[in-house]
Amino acid sequence: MTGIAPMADAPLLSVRDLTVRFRSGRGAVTAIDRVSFDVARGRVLGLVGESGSGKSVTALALMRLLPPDLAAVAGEVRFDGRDLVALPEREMRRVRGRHVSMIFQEPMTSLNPIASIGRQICEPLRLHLGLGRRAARERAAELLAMVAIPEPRRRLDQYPHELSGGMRQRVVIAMAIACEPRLVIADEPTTALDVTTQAQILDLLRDLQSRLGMAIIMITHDLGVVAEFADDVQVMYAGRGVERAGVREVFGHPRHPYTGGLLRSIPDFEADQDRLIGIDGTVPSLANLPPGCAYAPRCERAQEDCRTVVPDLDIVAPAHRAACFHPLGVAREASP
Amino acid sequence: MLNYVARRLFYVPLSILIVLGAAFVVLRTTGNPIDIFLDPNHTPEQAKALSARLHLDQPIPVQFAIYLRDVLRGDFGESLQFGGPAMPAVLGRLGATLELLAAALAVALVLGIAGGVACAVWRDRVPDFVISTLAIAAQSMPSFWLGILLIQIFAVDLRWLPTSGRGDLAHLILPATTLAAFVLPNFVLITRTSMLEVMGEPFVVTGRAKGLSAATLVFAHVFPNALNPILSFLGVQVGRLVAGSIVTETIFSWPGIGRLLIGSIFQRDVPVVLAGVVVVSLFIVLANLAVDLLLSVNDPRIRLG
Repeated sequence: MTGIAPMADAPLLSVRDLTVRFRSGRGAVTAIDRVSFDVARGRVLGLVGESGSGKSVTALALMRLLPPDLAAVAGEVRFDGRDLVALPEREMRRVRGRHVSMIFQEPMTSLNPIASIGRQICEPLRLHLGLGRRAARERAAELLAMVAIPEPRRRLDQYPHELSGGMRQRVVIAMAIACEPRLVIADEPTTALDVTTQAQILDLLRDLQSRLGMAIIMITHDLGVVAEFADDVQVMYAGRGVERAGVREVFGHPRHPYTGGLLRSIPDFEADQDRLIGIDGTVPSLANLPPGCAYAPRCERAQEDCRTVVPDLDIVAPAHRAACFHPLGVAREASP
Repeated sequence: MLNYVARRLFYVPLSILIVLGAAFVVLRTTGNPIDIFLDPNHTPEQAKALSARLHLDQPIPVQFAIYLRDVLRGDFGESLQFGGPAMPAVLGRLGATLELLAAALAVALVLGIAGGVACAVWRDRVPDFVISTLAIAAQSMPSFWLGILLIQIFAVDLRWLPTSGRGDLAHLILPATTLAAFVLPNFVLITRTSMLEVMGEPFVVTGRAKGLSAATLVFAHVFPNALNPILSFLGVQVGRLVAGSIVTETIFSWPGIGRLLIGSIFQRDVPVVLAGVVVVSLFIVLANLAVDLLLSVNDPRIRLG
């Protein structure tokens, strides 16, 4: 229906109307509002947005890692034919780390500080693949070699505090790919790292992705990462998907004014630019969204309809969707 | 690691010296053994002779110096009430005190940690509410009162257990329970807090994302991390536990060092009190060293520095 992938080949992951509502002291807040997207086998989807746009909540909801007493999840997350939202917790545990795994933002805190690297990598191997102690250790050393950690065997007996941030993130990646999952969700995997390390980690991820043929959801606020890395892009704003298309299409012909604004705010060093361009205004609070399009208050193209009706993520061009009544690159119609 | 232990051991004599000095001055300035140990109708010559034997005619610093000199030779003086050497009198009671401390500590640690873990796992639910409320109530209960209450119920009314003294396991139950109750609530609360703090750490989410079960996470990942504050707290609590044992031993007539110390203080049996102080402070210092070793065994960041 709404997939970007060809109909003949069902996508690996198909998210439909994923909605997450957080119960809070003053009623419920909708953190994710009817988000839909597909990830095809072996492809990379870039999930882009500012902080607070709901990228990380989307990732945690896909993995069913949100606390059930605080977050109500609705919609459908069809992975390989099964709806993860409806899966019993026991079966969901066999999906996590085995078929879908995750790389986190903060390598400094995402490893257990008092467990050895080896033990932490062996855990999913023993749990999901049923490897014995020795076999798991062998495989863990191979994995560390795969993520280009020197002296892998010695590292197995080291602890997180003995490694640098970049090395720790490699360990986290080794852990994530341990069982050769079909989908890896990388939540801002390079944000906490310095620039040279960022590039190395991205290269490593791309290399692993092509070698292992896994699909990746790359969550980032960095359009540069998306341009380099992703096949498809989903732009998020205030918990809603606002634009979805192939990466060239989004960068070449952005349709949603928000995407256009994001792209314009990338500094152009060749044009001898004096000031940085930003988007006026701030992201609205999720507890207090405007009635229509959430971007309308900041949008120079906004008209009356934008302020009253929430636009659907509709097809605006072939294989290109945008949630906008007055998209860019389309002749502006007079408001009725 | 060995370096660290050696450095810590180096400070042991210093701590003991400070404690001894304080105890010595307090004992010498708050009472006079002569009035207690000599017949009320003693002659001035008798008083003078005892004074000279105990060096009481010297200024206090000189007395302390003489005392230290003797201690370094292994001589802790003669007990005034028993007549024999003071240190063996104290060491003879060490077994009873250690038995009581070990039993109480085992109960407090096992139940305290189990209770705290249960509170954290079922946070804000019924088990948490019940256990936390009990812990806070128990924390504000004086241990001598609990001891008397237990004696009243289990020894006097029900006649299930002996009221006092040391002997078989039945004798140990009431004093150990009383002493354990003195520190148990603190272990519950510190374990709960520490577990909850670790449960909020990002690596717990990593563990869940790997597919680990809640039980594996709690016992293999969260608890070992939560153990550090619990162990540090244990070091602090050993001192409280020893202090509590003095009260408990007195209530239950438990023939340990605590009861000996109380009696000797009233008797102005200074050599025994000082020997007891040495043994008790040595025990506390060594217990803290043991806690530090446990911490470093548990946490590679401490071990590998």
